[in-house]
Amino acid sequence: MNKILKIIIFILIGILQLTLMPLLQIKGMIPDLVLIGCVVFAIVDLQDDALLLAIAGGLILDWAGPLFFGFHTIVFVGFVLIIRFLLQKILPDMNSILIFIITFFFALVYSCFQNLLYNRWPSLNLFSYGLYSAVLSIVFFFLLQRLHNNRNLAVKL
Amino acid sequence: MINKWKGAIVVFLIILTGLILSPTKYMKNIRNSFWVMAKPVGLGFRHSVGQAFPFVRQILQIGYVVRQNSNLISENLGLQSQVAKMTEVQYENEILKKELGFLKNTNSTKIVPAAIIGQSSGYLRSVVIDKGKKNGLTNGDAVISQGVLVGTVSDARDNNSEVTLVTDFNSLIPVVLQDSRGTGLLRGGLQGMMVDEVPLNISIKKGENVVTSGLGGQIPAGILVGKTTEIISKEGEIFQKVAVSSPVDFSRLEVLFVTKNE
Repeated sequence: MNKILKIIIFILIGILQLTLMPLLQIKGMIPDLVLIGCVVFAIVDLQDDALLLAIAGGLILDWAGPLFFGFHTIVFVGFVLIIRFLLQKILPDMNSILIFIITFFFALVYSCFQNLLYNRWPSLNLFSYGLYSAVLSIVFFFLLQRLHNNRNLAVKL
Repeated sequence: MINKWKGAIVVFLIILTGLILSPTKYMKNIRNSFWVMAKPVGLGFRHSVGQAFPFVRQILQIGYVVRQNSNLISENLGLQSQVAKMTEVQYENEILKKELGFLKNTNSTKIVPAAIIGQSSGYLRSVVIDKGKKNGLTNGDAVISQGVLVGTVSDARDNNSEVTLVTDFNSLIPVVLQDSRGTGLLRGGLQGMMVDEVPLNISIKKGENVVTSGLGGQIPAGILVGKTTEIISKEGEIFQKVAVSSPVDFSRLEVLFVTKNE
């Protein structure tokens, strides 16, 4: 797919995060589409797409959000680079259970960062948020597999 | 080597520019422009998906809806008789004021309707509305839905504004308990809303209305916030704390009204 088209789609994902996802919240939990997309793309070895989403989506969230500019972009790019390192050195063989666990973990870390920046102690809701994000990551992974017709994705079921 | 890192350098420069602009008014204008562009998308989703999701939820909760309907009919009948009594009391009050020569309070209230465009952060209990300074909004204005206080304007930009909901951790509103006349501060949080700093000599009743006290001047007095549910302060504390529940479903807010004293 054309790089410009991908950037436009990823920017739209950022806008969807701010306008559509609040309507799909459960008990105040709104999973981050950009975070889920970055993690899943990075895990299935679409590193360039993961970085592009982290930058485009992150900049949109920084542009609209109340935190200091650059927070989301830096965090998402950092996550993509960490996953790349994990894939190369520690976990070369990925499966859907590991996608679930990794998304859960990164959602917790992201949530902790935000809580600390808003001067709040993280609460037990973090785990519900992590679970919700992890479930959506599996859904997204299966959709991605369909899109790529089960080819060229470096993950087993 | 520079060609290889060109993309990273560009992104780094954008972030650095944003960081430098963050404390200035330019960032506010930039955020304003984003929400102006996102407004049609946000409103479109609210009118389409925003109607579908609650509908599905209602079908799954049909039993609860039927019970709630029955309770609301009983409550409505009780409230109708109270309204009738209050109307009589108000009429007597007006006559007495005239007799005693009291000056009538002529403060009028301006109401600005606003639609929710989106939510800028999943962690703050806040929403973005499509009205701003150009519509006369200022920071601190009260925002109501169905006659109940739901938040205050925390960041008024030119064309849109950030509204912090009363359930947010950072929200702090002076209120009064309508029956016991105890004053306190309404705080939001993950455990729900509560009124804090109520003096110990106040005898709090369960189910009494909590309304804004008007202290501070910005939020008009008398706006309903919710009802007291249970006292949560422990023995030995120097102030009382009471939990408050709002009749508004904050996950289904659609049209809000910004009120301001004129």
